[in-house]
Amino acid sequence: MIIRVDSKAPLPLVEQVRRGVRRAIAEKAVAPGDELPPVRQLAGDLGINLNTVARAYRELEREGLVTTARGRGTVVVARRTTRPVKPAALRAQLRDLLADAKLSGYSARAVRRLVLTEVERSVPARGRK
Amino acid sequence: MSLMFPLLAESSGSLSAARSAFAVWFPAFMLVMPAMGLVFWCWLTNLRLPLRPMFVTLIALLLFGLSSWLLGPAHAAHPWHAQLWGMGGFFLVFFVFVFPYIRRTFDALPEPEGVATLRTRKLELYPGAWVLPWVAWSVLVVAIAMRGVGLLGWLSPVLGGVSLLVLRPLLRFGVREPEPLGGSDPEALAARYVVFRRRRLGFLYVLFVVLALFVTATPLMWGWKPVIVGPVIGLSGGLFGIWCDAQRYLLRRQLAGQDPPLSGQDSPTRELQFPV
Repeated sequence: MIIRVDSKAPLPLVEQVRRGVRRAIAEKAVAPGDELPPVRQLAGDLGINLNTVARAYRELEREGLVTTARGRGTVVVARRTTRPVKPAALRAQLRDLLADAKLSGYSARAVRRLVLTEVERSVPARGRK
Repeated sequence: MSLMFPLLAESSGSLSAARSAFAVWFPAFMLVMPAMGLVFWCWLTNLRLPLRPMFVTLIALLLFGLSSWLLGPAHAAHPWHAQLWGMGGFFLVFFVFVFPYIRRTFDALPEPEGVATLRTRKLELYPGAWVLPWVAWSVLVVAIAMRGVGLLGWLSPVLGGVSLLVLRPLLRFGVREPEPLGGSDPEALAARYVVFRRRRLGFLYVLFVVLALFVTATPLMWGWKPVIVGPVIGLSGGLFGIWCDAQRYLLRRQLAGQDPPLSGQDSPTRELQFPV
């Protein structure tokens, strides 16, 4: 349920907020029907501009993950995005990550352990499809 | 004096005695208040008491005593002398010596890290929290109407009603107060924010309702009642404000990792238990 942003990171803040909420949805920290915090609240807590959070919510809405209704706020509606990543794109992202790991000096065993740990954490064995 | 508390003057029958008492105690009380507030703040936060505001308060009290002595009892008892020393002295000591010290202690803490929870915050009050104050207000308005007051006398009930009208937006605004997370245990900090928010909003609700009903009921009061109740509400508000700021400071300190975990029994920080 915790979301983190870093104003010094090269990734734009909008993208950081979007990824944080996506991760919470993917890891089942928030379920369909759950209300996300109002833009003003989240922006205040994170110490960032209101428009940054509003833009991140709009992008999540375009992905079909949340919906914003007047008087009800922003609500999670689905666990699956309407814009799924193609296998080729996913493979490319994975290769980039592995390249980063290799160039940073991680061994193949360390990377494998890390990947397995993260998979177990984000998709528990019982709920995995 | 008669301008400030006409009912008091009428009921006591001794205008000069009341005036003298007011001329002495009101400025002295107001001059000491910022320093007492700072003592309370330092006690809550476990910070060392700065000596400068204490010396300034002492000097201000001495100057007030000197001014009263030089002017003589007749002039020193004039309401303007008391108002000037009481209000002027209070704002000078508070805004020049006390407030900057509190702000500096906040500035000394590192900025929050940009961590938040995705939980929504709700205003938690007892059922009927919005209805009961209006019922009490209506009863008071009926009592005022039965008593019969002039056109100016209706100003207080109107002010009380307006206060009740703004209560809900005010509390909703309070719910949205930023609660930055971070540190070694963000979940523990989030739980502590929940406790603080409940107490803060609960006490604000009680204070505001009491204030609104007090303002509404002033045409029905006479004698010492408004003179006592008004400052008690004001003083409670002041203490409540200091307590809130101290809690915000303690939370920021925990966020910055400058405190041991506050869930432990041996926590060095103190919390007041408000009956809310």
